[in-house]
Amino acid sequence: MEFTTFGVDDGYVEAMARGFRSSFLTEDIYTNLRNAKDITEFKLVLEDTDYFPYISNEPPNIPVSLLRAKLKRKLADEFEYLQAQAVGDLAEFLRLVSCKYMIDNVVNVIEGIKNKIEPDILLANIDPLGYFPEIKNMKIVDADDYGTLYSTVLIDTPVGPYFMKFLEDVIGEGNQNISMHEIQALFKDLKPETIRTSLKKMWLEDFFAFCEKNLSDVSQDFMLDLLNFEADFKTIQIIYNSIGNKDFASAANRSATRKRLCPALGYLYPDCEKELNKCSNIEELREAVKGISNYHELLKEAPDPSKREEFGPQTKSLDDMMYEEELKKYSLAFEEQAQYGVFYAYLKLKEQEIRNIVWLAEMNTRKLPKNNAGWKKYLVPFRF
Amino acid sequence: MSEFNITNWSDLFYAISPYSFASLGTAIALGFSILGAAWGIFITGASLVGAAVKAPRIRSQNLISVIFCEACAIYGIIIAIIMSGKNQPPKVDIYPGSENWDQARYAGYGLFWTGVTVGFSNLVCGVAVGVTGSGCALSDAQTHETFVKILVIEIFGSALGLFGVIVGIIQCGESVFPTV
Repeated sequence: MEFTTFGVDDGYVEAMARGFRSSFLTEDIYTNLRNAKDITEFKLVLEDTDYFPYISNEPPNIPVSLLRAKLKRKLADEFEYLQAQAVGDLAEFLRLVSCKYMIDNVVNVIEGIKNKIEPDILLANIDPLGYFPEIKNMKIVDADDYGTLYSTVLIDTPVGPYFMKFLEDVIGEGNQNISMHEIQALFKDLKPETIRTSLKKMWLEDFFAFCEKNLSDVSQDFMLDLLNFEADFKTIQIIYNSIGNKDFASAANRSATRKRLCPALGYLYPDCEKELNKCSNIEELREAVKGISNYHELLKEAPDPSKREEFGPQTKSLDDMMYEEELKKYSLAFEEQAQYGVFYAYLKLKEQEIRNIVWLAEMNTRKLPKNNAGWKKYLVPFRF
Repeated sequence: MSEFNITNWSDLFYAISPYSFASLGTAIALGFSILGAAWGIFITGASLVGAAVKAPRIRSQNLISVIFCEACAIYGIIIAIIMSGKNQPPKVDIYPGSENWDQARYAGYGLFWTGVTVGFSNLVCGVAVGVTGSGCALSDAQTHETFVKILVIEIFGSALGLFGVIVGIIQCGESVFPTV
């Protein structure tokens, strides 16, 4: 029955998103990009596609970072259009999706300020999908003073609630009596990666709760499955990264950090939580995820994290496997009408395409030999 | 007026004027047909407008889906005009207990249920054609070959309304109010 009422509010936006589907690059174009002799030819191939208006004004010898910025700009413009046309639940849904990129931007700016990078360069490099006007004010705040950062800059932004929960989490409940000095000390040790993971975890849980409450059954079928899968992979990645990492040599430290950073959702939660927290090498990780669908096969080919030094451009990292698995799910989103998954899938698939193009451009500029396995490392959607 | 005494509920129902049923039937026939057609048009129209932004070539061909939905409203109006023709002001005295009361009741009920038949058939027909039309627009925007194939489904869908009209015409064929 969803078909009969979906069109009232969301029919136009959904049809627009499906129209954007025809702008995805096909296998042939990827082959042409691979066979391009230099970056000028690469750019010419790209100008034949939907990206033409965005890159036609650039010089033929386009640097890869500028290319990436232009591709992202196109995606951001299309997403902004969808957001502008959406009403009701869909508007909230798209806003929540863009919150994730805002979190990324905020953490990147914090990291940049910490490393004393020029604020203008920082602002030029933020992800346009997660742009919000208050981000320009972030540069005036001192690097470690997260409390002031929150109360002056972030408090009214969409990222605000997540940041507040994060601050409360770090300071600890009921600890009203610790001094400002101790709080400053707490924050000084915080790595931006930890902040990013914690904020993203809170965002994921919030988004999941929204999807459960407000979306129709058809949308929920797709979105909840996808978010569970994403949460599972976040969990697996956190544990994977903490294996063999010298910061987490002690088991107690490891399991406390894992508990704090892993999202409280997913197919692995809460049944496999205990075994996962105890993992200290990749074999135990593979054993712990055995029960759920095909995670065991996926992890079978994952490289051993304790041998991190042996990784090269042709190694298939855990990230790559996750992208591949998710690609199938996102491609299937376009098969079903009258659900919100198509917007989320469109965004993710376009991001994957940008990753593909930038990867191939990098391989092109480095003039690596054509038999290098890295040349095949792109993922084409809609090919299941 | 008459010797007829209303003493219980069934007598009350028996005494309701058949003209009220006939008029209500006309309203249901037209109202629900148009509801179905409008529903179908907004479903297919929203998708058509959105899909035509990136693929303008689909604009003219996919208006056929809208026309199929509109056909449901036209069926409704045809039947409503036929029914209005039968629903003429009374020329003789018709009251409960008279000899022509039974014929009048038959006419009234017949027109009422004709209205229900046609109205509900066109309601679901309109929705069906609308949903199919929306899918047709979206897939035509991606692959042109699918248009004609999905159009066949729409033709089958619009036949549903036609069934309703045919049966409706048979139903209201014998429903004649007495004139003597």
